[in-house]
Amino acid sequence: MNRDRLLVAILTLWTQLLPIAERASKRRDWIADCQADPHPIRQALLMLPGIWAMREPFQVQDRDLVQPARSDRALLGLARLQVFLISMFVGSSALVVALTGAWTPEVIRWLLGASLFLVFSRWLCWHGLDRDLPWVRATRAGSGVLLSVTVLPILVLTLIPGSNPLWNAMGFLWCGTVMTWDAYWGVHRPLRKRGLLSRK
Amino acid sequence: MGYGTFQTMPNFRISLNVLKILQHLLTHLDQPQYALELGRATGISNGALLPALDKLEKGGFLTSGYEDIDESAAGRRKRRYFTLTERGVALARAELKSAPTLPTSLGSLA
Repeated sequence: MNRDRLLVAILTLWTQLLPIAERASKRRDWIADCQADPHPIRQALLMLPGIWAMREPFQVQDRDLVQPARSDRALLGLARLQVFLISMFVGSSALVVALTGAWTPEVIRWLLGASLFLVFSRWLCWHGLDRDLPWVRATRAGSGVLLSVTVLPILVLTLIPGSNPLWNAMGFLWCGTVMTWDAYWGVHRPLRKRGLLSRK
Repeated sequence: MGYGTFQTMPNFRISLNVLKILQHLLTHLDQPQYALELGRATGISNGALLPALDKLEKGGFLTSGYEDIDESAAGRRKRRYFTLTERGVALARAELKSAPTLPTSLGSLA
């Protein structure tokens, strides 16, 4: 990709933040401005904070706030079942550890981490975001942020030594993904096309 | 940091960056500037410059227009140049006059 095409691509992406009516003219102006600079790509990248500050406030329409579809409710139920099973697993593990007296620092850390994750995931699963944050729940970028935030504690948990860290990481990642999906779609179904990848 | 609120626009805060833009355009009334040129001249980053220009233009303090060139002959796109409107000149003079903590060069413009 040559420099001009890259410049156009970057500014096309940035101007998506602006109201539709302004995008084309702003993009055109800023391409011309950047081309006057010895480092147009750098200039274009540096424009992001400014364009971000000019972005259009997100407006959620009432029609977007509808109940989840039947297929979504099925996944919602599965996700809740999953949280229940995880809680049973953590609880029974704690019981076994208590009965056998195997209180090593490693086991305690694992149980503590798993319990924290359980509390967080239950909160997310049952209450969604609890507070209405339209941009987060009603845009794909927002759902991506939500997903990242949800996955973060899971990644942190993987730092706790376990018998099989990779398995733990993948398991937690999957659980987190499902529960984020559930929180995102279980509370509201904001977009016409579903999900982060805008599947039908 | 706000320096004032323009009377006809309750939500329009005059920041230091806006003041720098007004000052620069006031001293170049007959010499319109394009955005990044203005940024370089005033030392304002793109992050602050673009929203400030947008607000000023939407507020009617700036007007803009494309330069008159043949794009194919010049080998580049037309740039949009900004200049103060009469309202912008009035704002600039009023705000520069009442700005207490600005560099001394700004005061002489009021």
